[in-house]
Amino acid sequence: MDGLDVGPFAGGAIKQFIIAFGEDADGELYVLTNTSSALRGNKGRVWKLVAE
Amino acid sequence: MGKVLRLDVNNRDAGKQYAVRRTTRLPRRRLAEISPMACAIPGDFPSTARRARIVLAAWAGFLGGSRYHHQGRQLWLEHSRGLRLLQSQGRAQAARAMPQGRRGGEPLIDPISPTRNGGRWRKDPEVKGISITGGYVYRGKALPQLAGKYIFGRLVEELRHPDGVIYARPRARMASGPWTGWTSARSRAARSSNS
Repeated sequence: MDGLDVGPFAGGAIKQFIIAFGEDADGELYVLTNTSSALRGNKGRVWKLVAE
Repeated sequence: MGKVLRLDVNNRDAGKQYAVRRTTRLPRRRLAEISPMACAIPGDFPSTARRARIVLAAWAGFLGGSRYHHQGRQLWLEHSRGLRLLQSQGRAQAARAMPQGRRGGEPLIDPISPTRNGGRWRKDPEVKGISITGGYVYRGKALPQLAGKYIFGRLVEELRHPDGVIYARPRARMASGPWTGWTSARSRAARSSNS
């Protein structure tokens, strides 16, 4: 099972906890991450999957 | 066992920006609300209303018990009773024993993404991380190579390190289940905003 290569993160390993995914009205996807596995702190990020 | 709440965004309960549907099985009391992240079973799942039935039937991330993972069991899209029946008695008997009407009497569904869970058995070479983070079938246009694939993630590979992984699951039939194979595609995750 191979991860999805995303930018500088080979194999889809993005160095953060993957908390959730999101989808917009156009069907594009977002990845919500945090440096903590729990809902705390202020270092969460929202990423958008876009073409390279 | 995790619960799924039916939120009513068109109405409001006292002190809330939304209402909890009365058909929700969870008792309506303080601390009764459970976010998808806190659910053991199922994990996250899309909630788009136009394909809600498909979501609940096929796209819920399901986390089986660690015991089953240790035995190399697969992740099943059913509740715990169905899972145990499937493992101990087989598919046909499990289907007969499942209470009718709990999910409308639909048949049991094969797993879409069987993986082995990590945790204390992380030395198993087939283990792939800990906890599925449910995703979406890609229906956008920016990444045509992902069209129709189920994009989801692992919360983390090992709890000690923040190293979650994003996966793409292609849609392909196979004899033992409706999905097979894994894919890797080049794409770029551009940070769009900080929370």
